[in-house]
Amino acid sequence: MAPDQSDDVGGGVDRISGLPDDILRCILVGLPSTADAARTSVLSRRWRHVWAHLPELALRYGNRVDRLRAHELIDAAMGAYSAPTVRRLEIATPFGSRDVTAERASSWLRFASRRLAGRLKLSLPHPDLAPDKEGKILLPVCERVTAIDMEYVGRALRFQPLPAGGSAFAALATLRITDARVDGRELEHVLSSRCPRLKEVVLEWVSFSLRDGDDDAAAVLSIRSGSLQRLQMASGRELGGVLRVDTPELRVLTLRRISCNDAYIAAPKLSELYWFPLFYVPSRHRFAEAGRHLRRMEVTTGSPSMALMNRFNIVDELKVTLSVPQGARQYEKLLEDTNRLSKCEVLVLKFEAVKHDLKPIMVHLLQQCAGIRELVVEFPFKMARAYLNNNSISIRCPLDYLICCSTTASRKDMKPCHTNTVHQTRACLYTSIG
Amino acid sequence: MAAADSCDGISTSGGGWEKTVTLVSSDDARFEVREAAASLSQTVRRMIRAGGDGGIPLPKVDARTLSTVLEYCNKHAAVPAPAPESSSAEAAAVDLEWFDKELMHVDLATLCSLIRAADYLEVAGLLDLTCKTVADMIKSKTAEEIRQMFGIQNDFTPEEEEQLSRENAGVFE
Repeated sequence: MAPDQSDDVGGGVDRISGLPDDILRCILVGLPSTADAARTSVLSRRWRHVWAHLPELALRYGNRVDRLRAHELIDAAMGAYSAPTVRRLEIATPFGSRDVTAERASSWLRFASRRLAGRLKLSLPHPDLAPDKEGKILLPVCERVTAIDMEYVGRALRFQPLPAGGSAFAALATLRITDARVDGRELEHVLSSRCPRLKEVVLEWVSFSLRDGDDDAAAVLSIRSGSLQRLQMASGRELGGVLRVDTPELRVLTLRRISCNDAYIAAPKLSELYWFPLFYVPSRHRFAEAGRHLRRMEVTTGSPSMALMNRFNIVDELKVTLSVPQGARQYEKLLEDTNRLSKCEVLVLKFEAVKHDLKPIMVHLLQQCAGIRELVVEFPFKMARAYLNNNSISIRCPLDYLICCSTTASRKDMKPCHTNTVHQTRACLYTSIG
Repeated sequence: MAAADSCDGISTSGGGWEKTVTLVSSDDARFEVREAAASLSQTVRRMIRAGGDGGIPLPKVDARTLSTVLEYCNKHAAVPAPAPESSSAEAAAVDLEWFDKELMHVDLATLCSLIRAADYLEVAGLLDLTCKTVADMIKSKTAEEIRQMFGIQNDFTPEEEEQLSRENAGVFE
């Protein structure tokens, strides 16, 4: 879509340099990275410092050429940057740059602490670091930072000792940390008392003790926040002892691959629950104060999460992932598992590796939830091909919608099939697959 | 595609009539525009609110540029957005994207006039679109190519150039 430049090239009339500074900055912001913008500083005196006042700094050095000096380029850009305040700061180093030390990353965070009023993203992809080489990254007080996203930290992440009083992260709404070691008690302290506007926390592949085997620190992980609305935690590592979540405003809770022996979750406003830990034992994983009604919940057959349907027996939109290996015993287990579904209005059935005839399974499931208005059936690509071309199915409950799709297609692409006037529908399953 | 939406009056698709305003360019051309479209310009919106008759004077925009700006406004203020998840919303978004691309097929002088006009009239969407178009032209070009394209004179002395390349060796490349 390059504009027609034929009458301009070599014409010698400079039409662009006369534009006001803020428009030139508006143009440079549209370039892929700050390095591209900085390149314009050699064009002429007029362009010399335009880039250094850009409202955003995107220091992404992903390609191989920069691998060995990415840290120098980032330091130089920060040194030359002249605007007093930056509205977004993004730093990404190439995979495995050995010179991106914890101390250097900490110095970038100090820059953010002084100059950033907006979003911070720091990404430090790395191979596994030797424990003695990893060091610790220090996150200082960031009063004006609205979002912190630290990816592939790969080391210990400490919060700088905070001054007494004051909120330290006064504007912070989103905190996302992946692949780091964090001191659980330090995190609890910061979240509970220093982040008054915190709405969302995502912790993935985070271990909550600074050293392996530091059992004392890991015995209880406590997430307390008066403002938090969304919490997502995923980890392949043992959480150790107890998970406590004390969040009066929490709406959405997602837990994946976490093994905690005990959990105490006080979230009276909980409305969406995505629970994929290895265990759910009602007496040990307790939802205090929450009612029995959720807006959305996901469960997987054959997993402990099925028991959550006793705890939350009314769910507006219930998603059941079905995974049924071969064998009569497995089939019986599925029937037992799904004997009492939560009462729901929208039922989403996601078939995943089901080695049995779908029809009786569907009929069984639909018998359990007579009141549904909408049924969504999702198939993996292969199954859809095998089953949908020549199968049809009787649905013996009144539905407003029946939506069938392959899981490779998004649900909104599907054309709903109106069945609200037909009480006994013989609906041919269809998919988006051509 | 653009011609179908040229600003010819005040009848709406529903058969009703819509309020219009008259804009006057620097060279005294008069444009009658639906108020909804004209209001995409924050500058015009403020002037509508301030009242007055005989048309809204826009002394910094000539007729040729203004007609392109209004083409943009008419298209982007055409219909109330349908529900965001419906398929017609997606189709409308694709249509707008094509329209924008077509609109940007202009020579550099026109593009720069459009940038100035969008800035003066405060049409945020058009300012973003035009700036992004220039950014795409700069992207992945060498300094010399950029100078050539825009007619920028390199006014650094040889000493300055040398210092520049020393200083900046780190920041770009």
